[in-house]
Amino acid sequence: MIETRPRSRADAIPPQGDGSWPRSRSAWPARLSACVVAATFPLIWVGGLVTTYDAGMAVEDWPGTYGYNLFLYPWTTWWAGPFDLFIEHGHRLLGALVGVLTIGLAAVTFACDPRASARGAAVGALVLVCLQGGLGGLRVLLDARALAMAHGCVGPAFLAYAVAMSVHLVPSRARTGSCESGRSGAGRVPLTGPAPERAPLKTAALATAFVYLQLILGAYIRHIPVDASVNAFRFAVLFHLALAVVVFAYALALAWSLRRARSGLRLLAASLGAATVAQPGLGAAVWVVKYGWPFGLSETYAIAGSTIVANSFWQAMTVTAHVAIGSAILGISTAITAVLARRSGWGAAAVVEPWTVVGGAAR
Amino acid sequence: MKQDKAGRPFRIGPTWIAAIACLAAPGCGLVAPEPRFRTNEAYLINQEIKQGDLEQSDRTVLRRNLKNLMVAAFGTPNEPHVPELEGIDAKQLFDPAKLAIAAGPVASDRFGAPKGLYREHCAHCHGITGDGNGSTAAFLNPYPRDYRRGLFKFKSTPGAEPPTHDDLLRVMTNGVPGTAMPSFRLLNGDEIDALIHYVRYLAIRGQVERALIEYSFQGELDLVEATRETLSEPESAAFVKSEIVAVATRWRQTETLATTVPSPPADFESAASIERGRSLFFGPIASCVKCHGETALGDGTTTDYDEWAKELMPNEPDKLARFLDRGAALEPRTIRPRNLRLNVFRGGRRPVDLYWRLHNGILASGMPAASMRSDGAGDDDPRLAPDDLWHLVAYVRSLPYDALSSPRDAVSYQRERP
Amino acid sequence: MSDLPRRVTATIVSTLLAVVGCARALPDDARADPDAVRAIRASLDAKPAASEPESGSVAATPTGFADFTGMFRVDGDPPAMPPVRVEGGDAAYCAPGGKAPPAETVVVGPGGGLAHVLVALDSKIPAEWEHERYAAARDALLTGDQAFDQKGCRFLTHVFAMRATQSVEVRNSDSVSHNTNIAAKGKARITNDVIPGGSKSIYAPGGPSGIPFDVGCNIHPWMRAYMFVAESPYFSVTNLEGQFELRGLPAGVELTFRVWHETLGGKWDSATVNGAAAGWSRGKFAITLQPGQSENWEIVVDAAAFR
Repeated sequence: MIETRPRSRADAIPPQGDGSWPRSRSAWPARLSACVVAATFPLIWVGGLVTTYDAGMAVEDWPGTYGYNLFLYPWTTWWAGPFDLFIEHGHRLLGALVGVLTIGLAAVTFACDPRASARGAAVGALVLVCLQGGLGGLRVLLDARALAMAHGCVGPAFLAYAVAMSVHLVPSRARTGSCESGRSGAGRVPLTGPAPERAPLKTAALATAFVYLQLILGAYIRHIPVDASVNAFRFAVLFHLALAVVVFAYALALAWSLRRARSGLRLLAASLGAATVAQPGLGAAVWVVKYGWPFGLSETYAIAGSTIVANSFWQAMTVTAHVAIGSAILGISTAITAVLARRSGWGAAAVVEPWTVVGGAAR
Repeated sequence: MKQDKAGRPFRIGPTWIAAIACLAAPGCGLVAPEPRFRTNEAYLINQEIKQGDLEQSDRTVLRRNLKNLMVAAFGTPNEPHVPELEGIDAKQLFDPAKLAIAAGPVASDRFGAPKGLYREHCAHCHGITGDGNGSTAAFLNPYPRDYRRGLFKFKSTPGAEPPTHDDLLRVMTNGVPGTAMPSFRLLNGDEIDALIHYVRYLAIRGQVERALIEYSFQGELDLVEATRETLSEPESAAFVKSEIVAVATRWRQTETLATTVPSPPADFESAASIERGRSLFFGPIASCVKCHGETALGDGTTTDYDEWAKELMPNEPDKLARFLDRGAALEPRTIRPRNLRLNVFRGGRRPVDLYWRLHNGILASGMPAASMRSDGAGDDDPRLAPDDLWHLVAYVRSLPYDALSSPRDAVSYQRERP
Repeated sequence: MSDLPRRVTATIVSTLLAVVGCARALPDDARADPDAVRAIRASLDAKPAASEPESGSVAATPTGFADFTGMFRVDGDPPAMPPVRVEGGDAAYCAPGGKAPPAETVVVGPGGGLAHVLVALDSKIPAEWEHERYAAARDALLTGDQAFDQKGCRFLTHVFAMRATQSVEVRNSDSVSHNTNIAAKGKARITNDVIPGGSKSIYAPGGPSGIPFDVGCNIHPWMRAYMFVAESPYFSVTNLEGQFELRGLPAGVELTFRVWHETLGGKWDSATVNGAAAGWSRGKFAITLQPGQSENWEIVVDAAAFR
């Protein structure tokens, strides 16, 4: 019901014969963009580990590492050094990789894709990645937990941005067509199936927004100021739980509504569903490994006497997995939103929509 | 569903609010000031209720003077300080080098040597001040410990004596099973040691603060009348210092006060030993049954409060409200005697741990010390001999393996009780 | 579709802002003044002077001895005391027939006398100023009538006062067990021992408490008494007639006294003494007695003060 237009390789060949947009269908911007996404996800995972092990200040200078240039820090020292230095420096190296990839993406986009929206998106990515790197650096230089939290919020936003951009940069006939004539604002592809396609898109956009809010709350709980009041934590946790219900409902509704979509979208929907189902359990597990069994369950015969072990492997893994899957949910729901928006033919404006929602980074 | 001119399915309102929230939420924390030790507001309220209310202006003066005095004597969370204490080996209590590792913001150097351990591992529950009022506290049951009274539960010393270094080390290493207090066995010894020194520093700091509040209300060192000048006079300095010395001395002396545990009798944990323990458990001398209940499920006296909660006057709603309205304390909870059938003993389950608990009680929780025979008394003294305590330990340790300890049986037993 | 998603969003977002932005607020706390901190720390870190003059002592020397007696009378109807909340396994024993004893927060005798008021010397005086009549009991073990006893699941002495040098027999005249939780203050020792029925234990405080403190029983949480461990021998707790007596006080020097009652605490800022208003400060007042003088006061307390 979503997929109404036939789609094939042949369809994607641009119609123009004069060669005016010879490189507009280049797949390179999209490929590089996918690389950015692929590198950003582990970066977020490692960043989560840095917070879990409170390793944010394991290297006290920036942008260098203990006086060395970031890339020249002896790898043997890094590899064999203390664990917190290992993950912090690793996080920086991965971050640098994402930065380099984003610069490459911007270059390739400017070279291959003449669309203003594509170029704008690439510049936006560059700005975001610089902002994120700067936040990370300031967090170290100022030793401010609040900046760590901002850094932790912009990370997933960048992931979402990169995902949406990847979708936007995938060349297709419809896209190039609309781009060519869209300059005058006249040739926008008409809505193909107005009513039935709108609902999942709206659900997808809202789900993405909620997921991001949920991530912010999670980041707040993880970076809560050391002298925060009991109420701050109480509200944040209860609100995180309430929003979890909303996200759960939206994400599953979205996954369900896409159950008959074409295979790519269906795969996204299925993974969204799976991640959404796993996430509350992980969240509960995080509570148990950090704070013990709630609701007096510790007085239950079967689990009485379990002792939490601070900084244990499973504690760190559970917490970091919850963070990483949260980011994955954001990435997937952003991808679905972007695909749906693009397919419903809203043009660049609609594709950009999730970014305004999630990143606050308008075009 | 409203649409804007571009045909977008939802209007700018919520979207933009969300966008602003995303930017503002992290931003709000940017102005976070350096953490500070908080004044013991709860004890000030308690003393006002007990010793008479102050005028609002006097309150302000008292708090300011107390704050100045406390910062001068003990420093700040980033820069802890301890005045020179004559006649006390203060390095054994709070070594400045160890405090420096535990205090301050979280960081580590290139060799992995950490700093800010207290903030990394403890402050979120126990609070930056050690007041048990960290941000997570409301969710935890039991509440995190408030160090500021110098009262600790699981220790080898009698009554209200402070815990020994080994007692604190044991809790840090083993954690407290069934609670949110984790085991820190994965930290290295130096790190745990630094944390113990810091906890002791916070406890002594809190005890001195309480004493100063009491003295102020009693007029011995009236902080309402005091000024910066009078507080820097040698007399008041000597007074404050003598109080710090008094508290610190108790912490030094406590290392010699651990209750010695005699070796258990030859038949310890035999059937006869357990049976003897059982009769003592239900008997009038040990009186265990009064609070732990006939079922030993901890269902005897359940309406009591622990020492921390009692200070909030939980049975007098209008007084309790004064604490809660000021956000000075968490809602007090009644204390539950331990369910002895779970095989979970928060202070450890070794026979020696249980012997200490029975012999010394857990003062802060309301568990009394056993009524022990005085030295040299014969069998005609009805009170307990050390062997009796060992039999009680044997019975308590046997309870989890008792048939009734299967939850279903225990419930049906409860129903059958008259 | 309805406006529901929008409303959900708006609600969530505004709550989020409120939470993250504002919920950090803790009750306002005083800020340290850096100059004052520096000055006080310099003084704290300075080596103490070789000889420290004893502070708080009275400068003059006494010229003889005097007595100070009096009574507290309640003017008006004192509040009725509700029965204490007796519950738990020993309820049948502690409240036979379901009749729990009344609370003893405010106890007024038939003649209007206010019981359980502690009057104690607050000034620190040297030991040689004490009247010789107190010498014998200085290190005594308080037993018999003077013991701290409990019967019928209540403490027989609601406000108990003793000297720091003395020790006291804590008795249990009930057939059920009690534990006597002595939550001492100041330098007095904190204990909490089981005292089986018909048994006793000895409490030696070891140091003055400064202020009265709570004594309770964790097995029977409704039991409540107060103890005061005095430095000097000059203290008295009013009886059912509201009378107190302090005999053999050093005369010719200014003495500060302290008055304490469970509900009034040290809140007494004014009192009607012998028909005239007397300016007290937080339950404290100072008088100078002449040798051989017998000072007798009638102190009137307005019943409204207990509400």
